[in-house]
Amino acid sequence: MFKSTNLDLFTFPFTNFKNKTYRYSNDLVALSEDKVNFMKITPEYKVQIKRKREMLEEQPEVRYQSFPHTMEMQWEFVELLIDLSINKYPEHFSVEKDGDQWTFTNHILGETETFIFGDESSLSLEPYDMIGRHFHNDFMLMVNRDDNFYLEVAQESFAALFSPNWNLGMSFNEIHGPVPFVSRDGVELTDRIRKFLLTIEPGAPRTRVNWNLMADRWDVNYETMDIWGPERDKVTAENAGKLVHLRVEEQWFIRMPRSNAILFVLDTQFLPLEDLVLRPEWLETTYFNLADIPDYMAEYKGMAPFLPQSVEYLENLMNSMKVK
Amino acid sequence: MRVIGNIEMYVGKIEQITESVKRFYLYPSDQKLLPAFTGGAHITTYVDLGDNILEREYSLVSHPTDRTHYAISINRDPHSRGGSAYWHDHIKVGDKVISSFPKNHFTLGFHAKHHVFYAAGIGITPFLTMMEELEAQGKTFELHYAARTKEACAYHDYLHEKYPGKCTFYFSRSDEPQRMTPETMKNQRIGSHVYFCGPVAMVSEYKEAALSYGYPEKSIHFELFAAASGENNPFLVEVINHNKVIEVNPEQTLLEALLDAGIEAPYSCKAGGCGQCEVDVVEGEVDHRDIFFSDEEREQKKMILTCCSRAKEEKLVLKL
Repeated sequence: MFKSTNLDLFTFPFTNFKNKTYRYSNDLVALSEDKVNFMKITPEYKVQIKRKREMLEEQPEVRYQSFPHTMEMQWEFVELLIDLSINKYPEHFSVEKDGDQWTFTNHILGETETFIFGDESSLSLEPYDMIGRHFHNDFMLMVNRDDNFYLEVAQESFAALFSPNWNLGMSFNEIHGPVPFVSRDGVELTDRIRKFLLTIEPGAPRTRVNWNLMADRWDVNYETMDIWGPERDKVTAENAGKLVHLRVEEQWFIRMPRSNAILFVLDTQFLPLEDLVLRPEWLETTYFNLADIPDYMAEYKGMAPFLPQSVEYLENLMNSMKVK
Repeated sequence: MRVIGNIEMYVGKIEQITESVKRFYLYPSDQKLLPAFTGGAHITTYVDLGDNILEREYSLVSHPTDRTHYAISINRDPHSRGGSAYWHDHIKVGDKVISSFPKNHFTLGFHAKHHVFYAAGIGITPFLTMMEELEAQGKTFELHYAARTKEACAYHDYLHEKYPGKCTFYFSRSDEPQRMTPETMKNQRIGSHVYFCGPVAMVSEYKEAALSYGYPEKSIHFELFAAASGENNPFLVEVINHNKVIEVNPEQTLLEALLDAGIEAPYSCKAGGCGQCEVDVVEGEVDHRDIFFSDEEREQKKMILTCCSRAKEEKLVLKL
């Protein structure tokens, strides 16, 4: 388990809420030009990459999946990631292009990838898998066919009830089938968001922030539920500060012009509840939000078994700070 | 690689294709590679006229993976709203044009076993890149293309040579006039997808015919030039979550009125064909002028496409 140590780089999720209450809504917002580059090198970079690669080695089929017809899409993704990384961190990443012969260097890890752009036989891994292993994010490519999006390539190491192995080929609506929310006028939220995603055009990416709580674990996928399922019951009001982490997913939605797909990028960050004391205003806001989560939402997010203990922990923590 | 915003371009070359069609070659001012695109894609172009901006959508006709430039083909429409006339009469080599990223609301059906294209006049443009893609993928297709004469038929020789045996041309004003009809759709095998591009009347006729022949809705694809016209009544629109009541006058669309009032309403094609400007209707009867919604959807859903549809009576209440 790792946590964010530079809180200036931590995306606190409850910044835009009303009446101290969190509810689901279609909250995708347009990105400004200075926010579009999702590359972020934090003090945890090396730890995260090491763990991500271990997961990909341990369970390659679970962690990475693609359809054979996605090769051209994968190269579009490679070009995007290399360009964004060099743009933001020219001191950490570089590329040399001699025609189609590309050499990408990751100076933090001291690694070099040499390949012929557009020729997957010049790599030992698939292009998407290769470049994705240099960045801590999870990457999903949802391809637009007819009026829906289908998961056709995915590399992931911070699953929240998700797995490339299980979800490959599913439509947006299938993947979000368990989302229990219906708007006041009876329209399913999932279908409304599908329609909204269809309006995301190339050149106009969007973003949103999602959050969850996780008990002593950064990754919960279907294939390992026998391990993490019971762990959720270990949480008490005494140990929640260490075990329970506020999990934040900063998400980017980028329409890829050649693939006609939406690239879904997740930057997942963790903060143990005890570290909320470092920012007292975050502590209070988190407490009020968690205290007010309806049962169906806690159930859907998988936090129901340890939510009451977490709320109790935060309440005690706030009271102890007031006493001081 | 570009990710956000619009792209500043300059006109590098202009070619006369037929008497009324010109091809404009656009190059990026910063010399960096352009985004590649998919067959059927278009761009929105913005030309600065001084007192206002001329905003128009045109299909791309350059190769989808040629990232050095884009090309568009524009027919000088005698009933031009100002767009095609301006491009033909005033745009010259060296002029600046802003382009959006390529967008595609007219994609090839992924599951199609065979693709059948029907073009009327300048409606040929999106099919040029679609056929390029299919040819590269080794998939089968055929083109039916109607024009007044061979001389007025843009890209006739190019198509005839490049895709031998796949193109059928119909010239209505030749010595032996021929008329393109929807009947040819009857002979296609199941699994075929049909695509229409042309004026509203043509697209409506082909769409109705395809449905009547039993084509599933998902196998029918189309793109329009301009929204259907009708009498433009003035009406009021109340936007409940913005606490605003806006007057829509006969000279403007509902979409224009919303944008003028500072409401960030979504839109794209402005022709009632793409569905991007769909908004929830809380109250009021809608005069649907799009061809995006099916009759069933019009009955079941309370929705309006703001770019072309209007209120049936004096007022609509919307939520966006």
